[in-house]
Amino acid sequence: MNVDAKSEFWRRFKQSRTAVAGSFMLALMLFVAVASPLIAPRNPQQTSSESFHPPSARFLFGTDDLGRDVFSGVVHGARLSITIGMIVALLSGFWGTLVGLLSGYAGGRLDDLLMRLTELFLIPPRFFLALVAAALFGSSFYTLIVVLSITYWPSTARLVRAQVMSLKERTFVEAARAIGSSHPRIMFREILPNTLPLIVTNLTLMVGSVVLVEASLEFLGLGNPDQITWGYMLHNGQHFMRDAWWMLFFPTLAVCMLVFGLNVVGDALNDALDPKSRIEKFDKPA
Amino acid sequence: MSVSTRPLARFPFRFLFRRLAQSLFLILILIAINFLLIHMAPGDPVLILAGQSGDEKYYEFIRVKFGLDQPLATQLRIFLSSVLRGDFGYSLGYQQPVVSVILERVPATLLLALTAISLASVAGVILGVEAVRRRNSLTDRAINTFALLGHSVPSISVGHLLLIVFVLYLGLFPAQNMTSADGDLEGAARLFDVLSHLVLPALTLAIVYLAQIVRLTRTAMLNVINEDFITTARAKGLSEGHVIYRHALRNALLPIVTIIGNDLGMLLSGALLVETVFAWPGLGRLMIDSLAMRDYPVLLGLFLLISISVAVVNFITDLIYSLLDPRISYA
Repeated sequence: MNVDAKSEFWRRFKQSRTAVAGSFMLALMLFVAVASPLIAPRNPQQTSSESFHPPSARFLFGTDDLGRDVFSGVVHGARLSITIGMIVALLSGFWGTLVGLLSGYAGGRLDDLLMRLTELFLIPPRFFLALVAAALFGSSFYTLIVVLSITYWPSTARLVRAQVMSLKERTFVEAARAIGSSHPRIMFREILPNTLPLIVTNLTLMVGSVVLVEASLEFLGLGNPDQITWGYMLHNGQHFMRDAWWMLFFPTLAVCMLVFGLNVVGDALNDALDPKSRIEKFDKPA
Repeated sequence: MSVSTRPLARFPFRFLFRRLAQSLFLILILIAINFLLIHMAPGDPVLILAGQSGDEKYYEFIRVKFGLDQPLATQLRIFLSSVLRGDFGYSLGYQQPVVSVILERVPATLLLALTAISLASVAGVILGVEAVRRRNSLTDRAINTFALLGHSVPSISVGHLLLIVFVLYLGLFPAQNMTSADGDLEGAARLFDVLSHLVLPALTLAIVYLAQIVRLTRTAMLNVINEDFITTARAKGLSEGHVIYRHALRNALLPIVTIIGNDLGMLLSGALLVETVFAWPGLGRLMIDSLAMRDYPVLLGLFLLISISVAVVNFITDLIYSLLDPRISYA
């Protein structure tokens, strides 16, 4: 993005009320995640005799069936969800970019091999792959991250490859080649910086998708049993939706705000990109 | 977009043959990956191939059957050949061969998936087209915001919302299962019973996919709406509705068909979350149940069948694609 495109982007961004609302929500959730130890009044796992306490000044979001503080759970859940989302996005973004860059730049047999490998990972539905892997290998914090990263890198790889293939025909690459730059230099110094806007957009949308997939796995009982997570709260809250609406309402609101914020910001970035390289959103687990 | 009067004349046999061979090869590799997963997972592979509720005698039988004391390559060969013969093993949890356990759940998933996708496609295309027709109006913005929201709300929460409104407050529909517990209904009463159970899960799934189809339709329509042939159609004095639906939509249809096919491919493997929220007895529910029971033979069978069905749907999408758009050539 050059300077003109940047100011144009900010002008359009500020004009859209949805974009402003979305980035406000995202900022709020990020703040909560970072400051969660300071914000949460109680240990979210601490049970007490005051179960099913409706929202009040003492329990902002009420308490659950075991007397745990829902507000503290939501706040800690934000930290956990955002951490997992960002680590997965960075890991699969790194690997996917590397594969895409190599594949698109080298072409030929290597490209063929890497792309067949990529397609292989795209065949089983992402959510199923994560589910089976979580079932076989367990669902601790780290296995969850590995499993999700493995299912997310192919989308980045394909995107980067397509972009690299069009970039490598451009004159600035030809110029670099003419002055005798090495292949790694052309790849990482000339081509990679030009794919960064695309990658950042892709990763923003990816974090939102990871948050949904992760919450869904936990909802199905495949989460880490030692943690109070959003997915667990959605699971637990649905049993009491008639009598304790707050157990379901606040975690749901938190997931929606975070994912909406990420999607809105991702969308705005997407609009600022070249229309030809627009990124399709990730599927949502159903 | 006109389909050639002699479709067979330009039918891309060679391309399709290549794609078919590729799909078959991919499926073979997936079976091998499946096999590797079994061996990479912590614990004795016997437990995974047999399920955790067997006795020592049954484990011995499985050990011999899959040659688990043989070298890995031999084991892979045995595993491949038994899968290719359609032998996915026996489920101890259900006391049935895995294949029949799975086939039993297919009708419920088909009913749910086809209903939801039809609803979402029709409503999604109409909303997307109307958004473009009234570009930048309040309607357009409302549809857009709805689509963005629909993409951000977890499927689970859509289901919860419908449950709260239609079951807890209005008491209109049953909340769980596919049929009522008393069960002995016949004919029209039975049909009505199933339909009333179908409404909420189908609506939930439809809303989930609606958001995506609306967005895609809107983008695809915006891409064609400024083309010369649209201007020509308007200049000929055709009504706006005719121009939009007959000329513009027809040309925007290809990406829409692709995404709908893609969604259907995913949905055929069962809607895990929606089936869980509404206790719908489809493939997704089967998957969750066998996870809970650690019934690995069923789980692996599902994983494989799902991969195969996605590969097949991809192949069929390619086929439809080549028939729909005469401009695509597969040299």
